Amino acid sequence: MLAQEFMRNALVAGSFVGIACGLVGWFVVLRAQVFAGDALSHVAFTGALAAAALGIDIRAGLFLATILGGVVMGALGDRARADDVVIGTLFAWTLGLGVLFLSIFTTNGSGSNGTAGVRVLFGSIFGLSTADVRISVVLAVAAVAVLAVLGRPLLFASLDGVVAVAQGVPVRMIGLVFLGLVGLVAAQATQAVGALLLLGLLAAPAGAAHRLTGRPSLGLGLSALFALGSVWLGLSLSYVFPTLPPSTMIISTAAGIYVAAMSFSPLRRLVGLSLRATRPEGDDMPKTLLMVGTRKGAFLLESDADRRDWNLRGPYCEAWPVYHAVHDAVTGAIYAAAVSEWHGSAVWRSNDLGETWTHSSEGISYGEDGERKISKASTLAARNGRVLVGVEAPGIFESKDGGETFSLLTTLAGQPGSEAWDDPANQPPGHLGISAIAFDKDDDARFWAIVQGVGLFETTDDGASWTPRNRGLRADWPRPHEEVGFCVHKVVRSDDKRLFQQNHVGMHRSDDDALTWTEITEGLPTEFGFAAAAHPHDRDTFYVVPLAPLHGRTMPDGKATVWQTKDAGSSWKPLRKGLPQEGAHLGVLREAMAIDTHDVPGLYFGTSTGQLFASNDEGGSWSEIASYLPPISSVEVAIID
Amino acid sequence: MGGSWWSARPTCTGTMLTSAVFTGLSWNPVADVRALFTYPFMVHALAAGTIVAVMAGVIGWFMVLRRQTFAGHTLSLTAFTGASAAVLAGVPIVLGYFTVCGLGALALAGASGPRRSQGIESAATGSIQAFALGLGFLFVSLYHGVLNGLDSLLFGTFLGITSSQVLVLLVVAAVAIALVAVAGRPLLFASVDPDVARAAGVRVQLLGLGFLLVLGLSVAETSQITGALLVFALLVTPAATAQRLTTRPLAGVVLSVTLALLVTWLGLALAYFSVYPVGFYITSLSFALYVLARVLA
Repeated sequence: MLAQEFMRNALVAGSFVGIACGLVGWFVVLRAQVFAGDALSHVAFTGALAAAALGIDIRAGLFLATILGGVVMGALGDRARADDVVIGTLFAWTLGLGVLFLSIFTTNGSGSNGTAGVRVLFGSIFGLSTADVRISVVLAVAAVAVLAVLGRPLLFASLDGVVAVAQGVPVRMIGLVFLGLVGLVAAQATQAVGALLLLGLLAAPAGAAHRLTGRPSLGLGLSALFALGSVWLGLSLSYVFPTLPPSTMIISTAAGIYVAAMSFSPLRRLVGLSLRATRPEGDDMPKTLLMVGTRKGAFLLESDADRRDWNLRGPYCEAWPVYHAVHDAVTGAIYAAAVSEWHGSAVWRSNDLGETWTHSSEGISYGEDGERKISKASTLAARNGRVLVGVEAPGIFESKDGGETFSLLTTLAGQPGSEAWDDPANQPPGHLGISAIAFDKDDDARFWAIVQGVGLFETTDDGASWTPRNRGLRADWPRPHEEVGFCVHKVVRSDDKRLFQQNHVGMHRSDDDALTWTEITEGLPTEFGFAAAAHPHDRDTFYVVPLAPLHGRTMPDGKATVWQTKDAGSSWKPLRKGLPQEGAHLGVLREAMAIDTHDVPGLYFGTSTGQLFASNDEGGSWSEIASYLPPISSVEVAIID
Repeated sequence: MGGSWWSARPTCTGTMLTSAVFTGLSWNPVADVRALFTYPFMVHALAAGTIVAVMAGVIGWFMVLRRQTFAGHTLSLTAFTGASAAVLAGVPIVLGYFTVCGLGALALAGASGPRRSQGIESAATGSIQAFALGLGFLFVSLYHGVLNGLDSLLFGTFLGITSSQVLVLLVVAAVAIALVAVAGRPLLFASVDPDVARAAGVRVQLLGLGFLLVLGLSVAETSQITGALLVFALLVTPAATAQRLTTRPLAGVVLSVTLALLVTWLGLALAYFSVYPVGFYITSLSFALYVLARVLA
């Protein structure tokens, strides 16, 4: 087989085309731009025939048209990605033009009727000259080199465009260059498998790789390997059975690999096994970690990026009641605020994802002789190695040594309402505490704190001074102060300026950093609730669990439901798929809902009766991932690299 | 037939780019229109084009609404596979069109499982498309000496359409439009907001499958006139234009049909009087209308 020159040429050119297609295709699939690739393949057809009609080198038209087509689509910006109608309309016309050129070309009488058209449409890999081979090798190497330079920012921009923009990555430019690169590869592949079939080489091996693994490096390797395998096997088959056209055989092999990857789960497991064999512990698969605080200790649940199967560990913290457990992304430590009847309030910490734990309460005290007493460490916020602990009676302690020792940061002294919470008569357990602390997105010295039953306060100087932030909120009870007296339950931030708030009497939104609030309760079954979560990638999407007010505080009608808005609160939609719909009188506490930051975020909530529910598709469908935990007071999620 | 496959007039011979593009135009509109109806093949072509345009306008409107242009394009390419398979097997081409487009619709529905990531789903669609095309090419090369046939399968012909073919087209179009009319309301609901529709008890998945099958049906039918590569133009462009101009469903469908009819008739007439293929005219006219709508709206 290798004795034939045409076969050697085909194998060499095909291999390089395959590798380039496999690598570029992996990003095409990741960015959901397969349709753009489809359009480019038709642009290739038109470009080649335009060149033929004008009587110039077909390759010139081919490369010019596809690279230009890619850049134009990239220049349409986000639209090139989202609006497939525009792509479709454009390339339907492109095809019409192609037909025109074909007819001009064939009527001009140069060449036998339609052969050039067929060659462009379906490729002619066995007809490549040595010069053609050299060109495709050079182009493939160039494409791979561009990818090598572009790879990391491209991956970042593809996975999380918003964050990438915020980090100063030139996302638009990268998208433009990438589509130009797809155009280059498309033109190169047109010579081998033809304009109509090159999509298969871009999409099928890459799609198979994406089905088998979510890891970029492995996925890229598999994708290139599959494409290479398709070319080799396809060419060999076509050589052995000369009636079978090589391009068909290549694409059929690629499609076969895709089907195998889709349906052959043992293969999937095999790849998983060999992975585990080569990377024993601490593999760099990103883990999704749930931290669950319960009445009897903290629990950890782990899963991969799929978030389907979960491993439960615990109880930790010697089964002390844990009110809130959080993760510090910078140090990797887990902290848990706990209160034991014997030992009082303390913060537990683990630096090895829960393998070993220690606790400290050093410094968490208002002093022996004072009138203020600490009844509970109720909430935590950890950032950049610093831990803030919100306690009851209201005060915030901080630790700058990773939870070894603590010191008092603030008691919000002098704020309206403080005379009530400083009064010892108002300090029996369970009354007025700091129930939540929320950091600003960037500024470590700026955060918001909720004082239970009083309202929301903001500091911009690390707790030295405070301002009430409750303008526009509603209260159904008399208030002694203008600025405070509101029962704020939960505040979450969706982007730079926007916050959502669930309080005792309604849902609210602020678009100006909590300066003013607008009520958005309309459309929800009740105005009462505790838990809430904001979508990490879409500022208008937000989740809440409304509860029946009064003393039941469980889900209305016994139907477990999370409500979602996609338009910042103008309308609400129930999410129920997979949640119990009969006799499910579940309560969800303030911190007991969380959302992760995956591409398609996962949503989690725990109930005060110990069930833990998870959704790996933004709330579209749910499953119960733990059923018999102690009453759950907090759920937090982290992605561990 | 005497001329080449791309030319409307059987007697037309090849001309250079610089020579007259439009031949036989008399500058007398009445006579020209009458000339259009002189030959039976042209009458059949206009009848078939009308039926196809009406159906493509209706189905295409839903396709664009459902953002299934990629699926529609893939189905339109499976039409080529169907036709070439039929030629190879020696059965009527119509049979090949409908069988393979139906299978394609089922495969697409299977690939687009509930709530799969967009990238992977489109990778599946792309793989199906390329595989179908590859098969089509295989069938054509197994069936020797059909290069002209290949081109007309891909780019369409409206020469030699028989009256019985027109009848088949009419029946299929009537069935497809009737199906959409019956399921129109829930289909609209499921297309606009699948989640709420599901919560309201609409069988979204079933409707999706049903719609893909109807889409396959209409693609199979339209391909016979426009060819597998250009069917897409008639499905997507008039509908996209209509949706830019109005968001009201009924007005949108009517507008989409009107535009499809307009470009089909004009395209056929232009092709009749010129040497360039009908597909070029239909795609260019509809694209021009789309650009106009974008500029105006």
